[in-house]
Amino acid sequence: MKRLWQTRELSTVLILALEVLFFAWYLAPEGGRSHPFLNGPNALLILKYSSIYGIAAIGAAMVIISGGVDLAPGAVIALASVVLGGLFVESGWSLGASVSAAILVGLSCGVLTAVLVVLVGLPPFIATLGVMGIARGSAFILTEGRFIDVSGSLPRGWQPFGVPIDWIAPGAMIGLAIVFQILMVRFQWGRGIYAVGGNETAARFSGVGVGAVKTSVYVIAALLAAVSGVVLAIVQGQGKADLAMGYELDIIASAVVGGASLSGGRGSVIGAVLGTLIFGVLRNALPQIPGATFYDRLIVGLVVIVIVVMDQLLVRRGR
Amino acid sequence: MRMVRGALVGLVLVGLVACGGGQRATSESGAGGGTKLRFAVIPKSLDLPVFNYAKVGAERAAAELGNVEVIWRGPEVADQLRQKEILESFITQRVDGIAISCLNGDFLTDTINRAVDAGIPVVTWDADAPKSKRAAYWGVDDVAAGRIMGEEAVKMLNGKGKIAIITSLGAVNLQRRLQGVREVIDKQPGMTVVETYDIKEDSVRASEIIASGTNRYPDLAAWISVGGWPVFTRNALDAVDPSKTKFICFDTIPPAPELIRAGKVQILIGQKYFGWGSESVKLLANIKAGKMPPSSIIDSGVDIVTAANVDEYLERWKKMEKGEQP
Amino acid sequence: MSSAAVSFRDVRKSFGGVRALDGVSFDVAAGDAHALVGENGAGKSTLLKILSGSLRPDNGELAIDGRPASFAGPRDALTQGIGIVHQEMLAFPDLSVSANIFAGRELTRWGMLREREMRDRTRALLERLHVPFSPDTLAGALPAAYRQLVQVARALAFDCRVLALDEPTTSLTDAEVDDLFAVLNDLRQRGVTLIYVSHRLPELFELCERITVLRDGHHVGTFDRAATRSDQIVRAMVGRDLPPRVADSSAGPRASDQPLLEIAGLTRRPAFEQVSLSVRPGEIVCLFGLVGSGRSELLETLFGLYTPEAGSVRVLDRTSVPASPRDAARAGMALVPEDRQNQGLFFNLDLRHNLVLSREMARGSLCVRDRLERSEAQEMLRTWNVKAPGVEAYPDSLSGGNQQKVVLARWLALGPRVLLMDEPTKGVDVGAKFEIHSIIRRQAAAGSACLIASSDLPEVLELAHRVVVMREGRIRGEIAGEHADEERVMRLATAEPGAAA
Repeated sequence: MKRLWQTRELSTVLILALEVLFFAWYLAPEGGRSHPFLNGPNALLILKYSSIYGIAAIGAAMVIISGGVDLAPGAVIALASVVLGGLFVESGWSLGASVSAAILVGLSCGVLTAVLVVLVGLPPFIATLGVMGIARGSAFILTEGRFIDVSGSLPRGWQPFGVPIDWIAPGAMIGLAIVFQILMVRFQWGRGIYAVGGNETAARFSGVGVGAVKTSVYVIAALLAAVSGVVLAIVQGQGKADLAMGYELDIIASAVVGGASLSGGRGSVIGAVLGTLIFGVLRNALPQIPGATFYDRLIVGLVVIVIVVMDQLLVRRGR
Repeated sequence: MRMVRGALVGLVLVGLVACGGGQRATSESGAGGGTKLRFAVIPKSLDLPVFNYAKVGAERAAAELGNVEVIWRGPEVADQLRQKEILESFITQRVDGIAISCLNGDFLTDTINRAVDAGIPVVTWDADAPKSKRAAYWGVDDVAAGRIMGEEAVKMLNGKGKIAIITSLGAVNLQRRLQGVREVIDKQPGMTVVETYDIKEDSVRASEIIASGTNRYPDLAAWISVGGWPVFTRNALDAVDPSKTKFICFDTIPPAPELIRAGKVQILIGQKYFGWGSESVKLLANIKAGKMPPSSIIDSGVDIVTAANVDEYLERWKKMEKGEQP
Repeated sequence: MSSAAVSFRDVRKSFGGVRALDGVSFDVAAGDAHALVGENGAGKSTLLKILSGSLRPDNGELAIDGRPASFAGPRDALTQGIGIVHQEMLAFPDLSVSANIFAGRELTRWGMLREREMRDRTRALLERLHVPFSPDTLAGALPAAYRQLVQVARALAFDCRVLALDEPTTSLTDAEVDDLFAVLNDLRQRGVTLIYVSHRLPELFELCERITVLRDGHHVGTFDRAATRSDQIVRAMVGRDLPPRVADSSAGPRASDQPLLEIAGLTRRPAFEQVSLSVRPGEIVCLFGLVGSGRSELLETLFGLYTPEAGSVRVLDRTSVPASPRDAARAGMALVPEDRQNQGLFFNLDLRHNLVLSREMARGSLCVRDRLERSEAQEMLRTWNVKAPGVEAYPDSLSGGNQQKVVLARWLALGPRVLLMDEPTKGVDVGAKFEIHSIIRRQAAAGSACLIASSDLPEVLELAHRVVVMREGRIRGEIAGEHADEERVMRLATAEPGAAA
């Protein structure tokens, strides 16, 4: 965390660039046809779908850096989408009020996690596992499994604040990533998170408010997951209790691929977002290879292992 | 700390009491009806919108029959094991009949047989367990439905062009629909299936695939989706240019018909969603009255919805939905 | 006794580009007690690891009883009669003492553990060491000193011909050290060769016939105890003469000054009860007590890490007990903790962050000012003479003494008026210890009140203006610095309950 742009993030960018180059070469079309992968709209597409993971990954990275883990984001995403959909479509609230309510619900999930971790002293794995169940369960109870069609209630070709709807998600992801990266490296609060994750006892001895730091990361992680759910509901036009099923593991994997250490103290917000892009490119490009759609689970698993092993080898050599 | 723990215990207790109360309430209402027949209706999962119409249908049929109570319960998500557990719990509760849409018919065969042996009549709907002792199956033959999709595609495209198919691995009925589609398309010399995409039961993933697939195959003649994910929202098909690429999709529940009106989708294949529930309940009631079904497989047929008949279809739909409150 | 039990012949070992051992050759005579000394980083631990089979030398050889030996691993060394008591606590905290002692070489019959036999043998070993706990106690429940003794017992459990001990006494009290030495002398009588690594020179002179000094991976020399004085050893270790001790330039505290720290009736059961003491500006008060006397707990409570049940604390003008370390730091206090690895350093952060963290937290500053902090950190490294490649280095690249100076510097950066320190020189080498002592004196001379908990009696006698002795959570007496001697302090620290009036 020396500079905004530290070497570990550079290597994540490098991996991403190599990945893009590989697919650009592999998917290059014969003759004069336009490139199916390397084009502007496709890049926007990757960003749009990665941002659902990316926004939540910002929070997940902070939790992981603080030495914890968060299993709840997938469920909080779904709950937020359902709350927004239910209020906006079925109860006729205004969009602004529905969005605020969805974020507020996410916030309360975070507060609950923080209470369980900081006051009750549960291990984060257990606490967030419980909150995951509560959030997912609430989403099912609210909808009774029904699907809420948000897209029908949004105006066609709607451009909030003059921004095309497809740009909202990437814009939110990039903006939030920059804001939180700055908070993490330029602010005392961020240094506290690294300190708690690196050595909690030493942090307590050194005058870091350990409880406050942990509370803040769990609340913010849930808040960002809720933002992710709001973006999902608006951009994809749906609210559904089984959305984002299992995304929490993809999100954790993204943070780890982006340099976070599950034992805490290491990692970065930007790295986590880049990690989601690495997976986003895979999700986009693999289906374009004929027959590869059934292999992508396998390939994604291999990529996680290869990148993390490479990273550890580099760290070991650097020491 | 102790206070927090106390509060948590309290919360859990309140929750338990609430649940218990709820259960008591249902059993009382059951007892109050005296001779009411209790039929369990089990969908594949609670999170798929199509099954809500089956629920509406089942409850309407129950209301019409008067002496039937419907217990609607299914797994929250498509989980075979959980569905089996629910089925078993109904056997131990000794309900008067079970109507189930099987996630995996072979897996449930033994359990269904156990129910029948225990004197509980079982019918299947939507997805069959053909090897079991169930009294009847009411629904579409998935291979036949897939063939219909394929034939409609051939008709529309005059037997020419590239096709991309959307499915999700693991579900037997999707596999059979896919088989039907392929049977028809593969016989057409002018048509090729360029890709079969697995969207992992994730509707967000479906729209991502449609966008990137359209990017990859700009000269695609048609998409065929053997599940309803792409028509759950209005946004998923934004990437598709209907003047170049047609869209054929399973399922006709709202907002899908509106997508036909908007020209985004050309053909929808609808199942008899309300019938799943209402016909199953009627079959069970007949069996209890001593009337066995005429045959063990009852084909419900499908609705083929196009721009030509979409208004008529919606009209009919509204009537069926209203039938819920007679 | 002339034959060599262990011989090192031109042993070399490098890690990356760092030469840990650079051609070390010497013999350890059979039946001898042989001391191995040197500053941190001199190569003692590496040498012991080679002896115990956990490292292989790059070059040179190791001979046992005159025959070249090469070990496949620690077990191999053990079966050849070489036992090691490691400096780090290798105990499995969730296993019993007897399971710890036999870990990795359990007594079995047909694959079944022979629990009773292991327990009996453990009980016998513990009796030999005069330690009062049962073989079934969980190792994690033992105080640090006892855990060290479990290590010794573990090495004794198999009758080793050569026993190497790596700083076994760092966390032991003098009484415990005496017990240990009795055991070691007993072993020597039975022909066991001892290799003894320690920073405490008086111990070496008490126990060992010969003393080998290492410096920067070189063998400086092997000295006979009879013909050597301790300052010669120190000179050999540091490669220079230590400057003569600053003859207490500060006049010490003036009786007329108001105390900066005043504690009355402070109680946090079961750690300590009814503790009252005060420290005046310029005064160094040493809090002497054995393990379990409550001294660490007292300091940690003063620093806001725990809430006391009763009593009052006044720091400068503030009369409230600090609610948190941050609160305490704002009140003008600093605590240099006992365990720098676990309580002091952030190994994931570079030195700059390690150095400025506490001050910035206490100030409650919002932003991190990179450039300013870097230059401040550089200044701190220079002021406190920390040997480090730079402020971007990570703490694990520093020796123990320099790590301790980093922790010290972090807290001195706050400019504390009340300086609390817990075992400030535990496990550091002679040179660093000397420097840390002068830093403490400098702080006192500048008008700080210093309260230093230590179980290192020579250190206490050297530093203190006043010695306060704790035992079993209560203060048992105070002795002015000039009247303090080992006997008086130890009598207060160890007296039978009820004997002290």
